[in-house]
Amino acid sequence: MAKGEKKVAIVGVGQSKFGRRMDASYRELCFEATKKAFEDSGLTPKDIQYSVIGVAGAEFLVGQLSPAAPAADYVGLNPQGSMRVEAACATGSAAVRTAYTTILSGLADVVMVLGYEKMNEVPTGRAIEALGRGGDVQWEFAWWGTTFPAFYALMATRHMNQFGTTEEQLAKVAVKSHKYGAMNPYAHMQKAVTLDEVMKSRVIAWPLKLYDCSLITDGAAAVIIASASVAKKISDTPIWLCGLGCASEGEYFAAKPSYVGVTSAVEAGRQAFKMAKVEPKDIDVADVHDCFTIAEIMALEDLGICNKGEGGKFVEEEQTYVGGKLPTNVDGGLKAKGHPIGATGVSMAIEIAKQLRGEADAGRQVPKAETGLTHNVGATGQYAYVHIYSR
Amino acid sequence: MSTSKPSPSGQQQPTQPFVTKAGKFFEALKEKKLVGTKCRKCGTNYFPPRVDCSKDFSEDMEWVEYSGEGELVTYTVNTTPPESFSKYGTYIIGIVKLIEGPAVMTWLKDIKPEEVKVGMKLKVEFVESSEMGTKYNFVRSD
Repeated sequence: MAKGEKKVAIVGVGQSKFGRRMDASYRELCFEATKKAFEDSGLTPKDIQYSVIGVAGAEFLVGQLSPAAPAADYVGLNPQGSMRVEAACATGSAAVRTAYTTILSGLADVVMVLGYEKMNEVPTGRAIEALGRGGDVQWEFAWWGTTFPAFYALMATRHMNQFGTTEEQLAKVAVKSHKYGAMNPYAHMQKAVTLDEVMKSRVIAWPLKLYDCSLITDGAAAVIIASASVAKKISDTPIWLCGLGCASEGEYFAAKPSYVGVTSAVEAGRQAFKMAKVEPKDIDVADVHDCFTIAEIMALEDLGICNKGEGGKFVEEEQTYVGGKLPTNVDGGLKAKGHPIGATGVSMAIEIAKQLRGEADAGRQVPKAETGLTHNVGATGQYAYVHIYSR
Repeated sequence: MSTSKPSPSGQQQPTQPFVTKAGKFFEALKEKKLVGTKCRKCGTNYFPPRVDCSKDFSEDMEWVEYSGEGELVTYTVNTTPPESFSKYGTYIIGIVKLIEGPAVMTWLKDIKPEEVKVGMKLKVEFVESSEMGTKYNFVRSD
């Protein structure tokens, strides 16, 4: 169990069904998530003293500038004050960290972290465009049409060339994630897939195929975070956030320090392990940033779960399944649960809280999980957040 | 919703990268030269070019012309372009490590996807494009 200090805890969690949610507005998805978090914690909106709202691309995706205020209002969090947090695909974890620092500052004891993204109200090409503009627009995107599948494909090609990682190993990440996504009632795709189906799916950016890619998902996720004194009164099972790490790097992809890993995520992991006073082998369950199958393989390596270059083998040996060395993304991950950008990191925190409480769905609960980790990467490492939780 | 604006030809252009103190980069492209910058104080190389050194905060920078020769570090065959690149269909994106050191993002041209190999030798080629003016790609040099 993590030996880091128990100062701040998750006391309530809830999320909307992830998916192509053309039945609901972003505000209504936020309501679904926060209602469940209130029910889970026994709190009401008036108990929340501040809200941190993570949303990455609302300007492009729903046309709303300053997208925190409408969400905060719809879920009854006025007049306590709110802010928007943005760190590309790591937005949700940046919001969790902001809640942590807000509580430790003493300015609030109970903070709502709400992440959301509504991605399906624009055509797919425009969603890819909006995300692609999370890279270097002036020097890369405008010249070469660099999309996120393309960036991660560049990493996959190099990883395959340098370490002998195979397209089948990438596909096995998807097979595992879909297996568990099928057990998660909140997942976007609740459907198992075969290795053959993944391998034969159409190419998006070679070597990445359709089933190597995370989903363009609508969804919202909420966690209520409290100081130690309040958390112990509210909850019998507070989940302590006892290790935090974050790091950053430049956006011009060709100038990255590594094409076979995310350098900032290595540093974020190092910080989080040090603060929580644990080692990679002590982690019982993890949600890592599998925006593409290669990303899960690199995350396992970058966190020190296995050596650099051995992630493909680790996956092939099914060490990422429940019962393996480190059950990873057994909620379906970004791959099958879905990747509503601003909600993703918050949903990772929810999954780890449920796992550590022993409340995960049948078939995907990790037995006796005491220490969990979230690993959330923004863009291609411009932002990296690693959090370690303990019962 | 997109930040694109109409170009003189009336086409939608993906963005406007030309407003910068590093405008010499675009002038050099017109002269079929690929250039970057280097800090005269600490020697840091910048590609894409920066006129300010982020390491020591010096503005004393020099322009460096590259040979345009290098080696392919990695690549992808992108079949799913963003909205503003839809007219290009499938394109091969690569990273080329120049013999002078810096690595550049580029498209690989005049080569079939199945012929592309990591480590292959490449050289720069300059082309005119409606959106970007003179643009560079890389082609095989063997």
